[in-house]
Amino acid sequence: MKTRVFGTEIEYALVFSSTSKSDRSSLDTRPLLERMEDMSSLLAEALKSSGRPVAGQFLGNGGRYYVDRGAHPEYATPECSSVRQLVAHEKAGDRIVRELVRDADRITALQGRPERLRLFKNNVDAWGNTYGSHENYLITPRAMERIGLIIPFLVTRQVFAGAGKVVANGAGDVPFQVTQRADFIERVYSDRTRETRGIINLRKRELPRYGQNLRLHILVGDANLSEHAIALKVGTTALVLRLIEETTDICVPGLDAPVDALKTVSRFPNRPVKLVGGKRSYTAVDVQTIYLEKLLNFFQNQERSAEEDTILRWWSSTLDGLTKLKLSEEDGLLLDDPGDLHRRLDWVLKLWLLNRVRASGRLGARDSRLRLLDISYHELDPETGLFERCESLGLVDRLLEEADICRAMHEPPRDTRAWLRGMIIQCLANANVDVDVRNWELIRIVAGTEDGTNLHPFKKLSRTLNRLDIKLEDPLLSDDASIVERLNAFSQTCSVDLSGLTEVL
Amino acid sequence: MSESHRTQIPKRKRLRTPEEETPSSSPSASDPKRDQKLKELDEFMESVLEKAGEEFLEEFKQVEGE
Repeated sequence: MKTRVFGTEIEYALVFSSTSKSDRSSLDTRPLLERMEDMSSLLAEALKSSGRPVAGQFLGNGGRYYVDRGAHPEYATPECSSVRQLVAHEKAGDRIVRELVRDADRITALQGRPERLRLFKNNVDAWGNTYGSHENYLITPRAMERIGLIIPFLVTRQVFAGAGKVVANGAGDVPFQVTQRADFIERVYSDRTRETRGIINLRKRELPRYGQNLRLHILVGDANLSEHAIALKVGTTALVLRLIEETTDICVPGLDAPVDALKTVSRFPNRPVKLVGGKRSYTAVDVQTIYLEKLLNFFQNQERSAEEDTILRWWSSTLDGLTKLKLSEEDGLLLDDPGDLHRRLDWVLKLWLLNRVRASGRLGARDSRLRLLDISYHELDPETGLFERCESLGLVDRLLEEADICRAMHEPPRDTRAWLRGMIIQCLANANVDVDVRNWELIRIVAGTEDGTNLHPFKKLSRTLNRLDIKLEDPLLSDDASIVERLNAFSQTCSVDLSGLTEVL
Repeated sequence: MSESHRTQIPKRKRLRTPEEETPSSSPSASDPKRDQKLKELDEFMESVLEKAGEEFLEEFKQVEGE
């Protein structure tokens, strides 16, 4: 599949922070879930009053904002067709949720409440509870049949895609792990998203259509702050999927116990993991190098896009940098980083930052205050977030311009069905219709009444007679004359003005 | 499809990195501007440690998500 459609889903963490030390104790009296639902409700209120075009859970940029399990606010990017587009849209999601938090703080201030909200993009709280960041890739049925070939890649890609984690004072454990999620994965495949999570999730929300492309749902990744880390994670995964789809005979190193290997690599990124048969072992970088080499061979006879070429080069230079990276895993120390990976990879940057504090002699390897810095790294606030501070100081390499992110906050990707969804939401926001985006594949438009109000949901017959369903089953559908024809016919039949939309489409 | 015995780690001709194709904008290690930035960074991390307080670790509790 040369045009890959992909997207990410990020569950954010919210925390009430008292503006007054004396009120801190009163916050703790409420049950946790109640507190979290309160915070999510404030964001919903902020979204409602923001003036941002919304239809159900979907936004005018084609993405989806909603409250997921555990009352976590979640942003799912629209369907993207390039890595750069995806990075821009994931970052746009961060900004959208950050704006909602800022607006929610104004609401609490008006209510006279002595607290403000703090927003974090990570995967584990200070108590060991986790929340996800998932990836979705459109793949062919053939690739899904052979999806086991990607497992060693997914287990080991954490060496560049991990977000890093300071480990609590666990006896016998290392002070720092490469990933946040490894300890919460228990299976290779699972249909659960809690308790027994799999590297790959097999839950199928959409009806599988025989012979058509399918959604690959990956649970094993960390939420990244670094634009380069997001690009590498998604870009290399897309490349490996292409290899699996378009080659007939590839051999990859089979891991003896993939879930154990995931946890081992997270703790000891340089330690070899056992292969099937138990006679040989490879390090994570070895395994990644094998996949990279197979792709380089593959592209000797196949065309590659400019973006695929870029990802291959970044992947290669990153693996070179990882080979030269010197760590003291037992002490959680970064000894040497000649490839300057701390400018591009989250876990290396986090370790580099922690080392700076430890170098002052104030904090030891097991000091619990290092966890404060870990959490601060993920705070999405330019004033208080550690990663954001590094970015503003120019200490990290960027992939995007600010304008790319701002654009993605408002504009859907032009070459997937997200364009149709986003344009319908934007252009009909003030029209005399009720737009109901039922899910990723179906948009229902119901004509309003003559006095300009929406038909009441209980008037089911009238809503049925005056509605238009637009199905978007093909993720690559972005331009369809038949949809415009149907919109025009609906416009005439129901006497509603949809010209603003049909002109854009 | 997977195997453990025949797969060898190939010796790879190193691809040129993006940094080698375009001059890096990052300042050198002895750059005074970089030193100033690192000083600001260290001060920022100190302020995080001072302001947050260890009680924040108690407050940073979430309901399990997906």
